[in-house]
Amino acid sequence: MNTIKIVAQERVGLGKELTSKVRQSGMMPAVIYGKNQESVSIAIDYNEMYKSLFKGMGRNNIYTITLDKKSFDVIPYELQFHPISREIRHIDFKIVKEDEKVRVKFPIKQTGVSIGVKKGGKLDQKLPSIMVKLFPKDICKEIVVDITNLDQGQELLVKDLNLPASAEVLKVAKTHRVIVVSAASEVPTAEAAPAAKKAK
Amino acid sequence: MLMPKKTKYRKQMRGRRKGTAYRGSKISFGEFGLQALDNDWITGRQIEAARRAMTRHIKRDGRIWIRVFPDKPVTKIPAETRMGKGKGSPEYFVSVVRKGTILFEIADVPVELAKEAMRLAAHKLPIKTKFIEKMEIEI
Repeated sequence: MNTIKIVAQERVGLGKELTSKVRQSGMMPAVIYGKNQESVSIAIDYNEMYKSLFKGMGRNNIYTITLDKKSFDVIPYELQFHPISREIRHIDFKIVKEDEKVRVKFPIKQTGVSIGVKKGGKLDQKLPSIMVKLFPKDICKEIVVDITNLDQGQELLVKDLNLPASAEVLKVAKTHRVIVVSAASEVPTAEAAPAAKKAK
Repeated sequence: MLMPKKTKYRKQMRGRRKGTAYRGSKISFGEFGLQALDNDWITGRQIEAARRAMTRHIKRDGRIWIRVFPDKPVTKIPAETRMGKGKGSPEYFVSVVRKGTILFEIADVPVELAKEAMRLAAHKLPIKTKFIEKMEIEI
């Protein structure tokens, strides 16, 4: 995991009008907060942040934000997007400490082609991402799952995932299904789904 | 065709449709979505026609989610009727769609197939739409 350095400016005025002026000047409004820490409203360079989020390690990364002479180790905690242009409108950065666990959401990615799919089965990813609590040093970009050995009728559960050592799974049970490979005839198709609703 | 099983009141006021949708503006279930770019009412029939167009194009493969539901009754006064004598009777149901709303989602199909299916579906709708893909960062 790399640490990305970002230089920020403190935002003096708040409110809709001043925030839109920040956006017009090519900056992005953001806020830094943490435990026993007063929140600081900041502005960061939009392009720099956009590149690091979309082309770099994604949102699961530690950023070092330099503000005047202080520096904060943070993770992007909450991102706000414009519904149509899909630009990032605002970012919440949470201060992380080495000895405190932090909440992170990992996307779950598959590698390989499963045996079941080769036989004509259908692969269904039930859980696209997983929320965990872990130490900042264990943060990675994503969880990669090898599905090569999954046959028809087999499934991969949360407890089978290769999670970092300090990770505690949140919100889902350890027996929750992540990936299921079923025989082609068992899979509800797009046409069958509404028909099933009507039958009820 | 989508419509409520029962309603608390038979008739509703028309309401307003201005503004941008912030709720229901992210892809939540599938990989690709069809996003509304105008504000309008979409009838249950239009939703069903769009769903059929999509389903037939992807040849019943993949999965489809309908993210809007027509829960608003629209009344109509019968033809050749003198004005007055109260509000007409409910004729059909609509969904109030604001720009930004995700109308449909598709998963488990290649991007080209999803794009074409959404294009065919968009022709059944009274509004401008946009094909969007899920952003990994949005998860």
